[in-house]
Amino acid sequence: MTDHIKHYFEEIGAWPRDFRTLARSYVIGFVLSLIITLVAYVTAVDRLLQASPLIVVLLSLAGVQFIVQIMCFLHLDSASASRERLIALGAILVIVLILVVGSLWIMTHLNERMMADPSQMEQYMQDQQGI
Amino acid sequence: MKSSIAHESLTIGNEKLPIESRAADNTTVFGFWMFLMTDFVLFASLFAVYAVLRGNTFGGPAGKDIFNAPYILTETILLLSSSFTCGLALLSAHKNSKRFVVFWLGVTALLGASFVAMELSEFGRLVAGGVGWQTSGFLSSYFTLVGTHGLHVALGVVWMIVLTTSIVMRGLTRGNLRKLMLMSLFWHFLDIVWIFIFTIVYMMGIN
Repeated sequence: MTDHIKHYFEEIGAWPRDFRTLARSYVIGFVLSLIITLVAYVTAVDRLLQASPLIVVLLSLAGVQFIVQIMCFLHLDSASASRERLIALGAILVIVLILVVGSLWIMTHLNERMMADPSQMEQYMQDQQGI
Repeated sequence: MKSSIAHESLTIGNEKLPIESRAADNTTVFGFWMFLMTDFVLFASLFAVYAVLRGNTFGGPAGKDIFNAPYILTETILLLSSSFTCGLALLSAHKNSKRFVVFWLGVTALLGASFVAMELSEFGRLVAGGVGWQTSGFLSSYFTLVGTHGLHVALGVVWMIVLTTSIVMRGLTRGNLRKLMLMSLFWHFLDIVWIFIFTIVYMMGIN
């Protein structure tokens, strides 16, 4: 009976592993995520770094945690059962990157070229009541 | 070769299923995954808006004036633990233990509901303090991004309650197992989105 359920999940590409490996991946994922979250928290709250290296470290920690959770919780790896989902994720990540980096790139350049400096713009906005 | 596969069947509980329905379930999981990916693009747009507008405080408070770091850490740990207990529910399904599936789903829903409650009280505190979404571009984008995630979590909790009821009444049927799988994908996905809210909005915001 249990085997049938296991086979069912293997068949739909969910759990290409046995119970022990699966349980281990959840525990490892949870512990690693917890550690990474606490490291990020301490680094940010105690201001262990200057502003720009801090941003790099925080974003890298988020990236590592993203990979940990994708592998341990969503069980995405190169196994054939999850290959299609991995490819879809890769394609979407390209779109996400273009969307976020592109927006930031365009808008910061726009600000640089259109505005005298941020504080003057802030003053202007307030004088005009945001219109 | 083909005919031998066609005669194969799968038994779950009292249901005997032809191989075609397994293929259909595989397609369902992939289709749901594609929905999650489009949802990912939705969140990416909101992140882009937030990243562009985060400095536009319009004379109002910035992130470091309004964010309470220990509170955010508590929310994060609640959501992360709920992701883990959701995994435990799946493991219980693997062991075919209906009782434990129901128990862990209940714990997950409870943790999820506590997360939503904490977020709502945080929003309530901000709005009551005169720091609403109409104050500045920064706050509009903040409430939209974090609120959209919170709405997803709230809907996830409702889905979880409905699914738990269905499992209590009908047991671990094939339909319920499929829904359990889809729900766990949704839930882990929301935890992943939260990693980025935690990092980009809160941890980068308090500095």
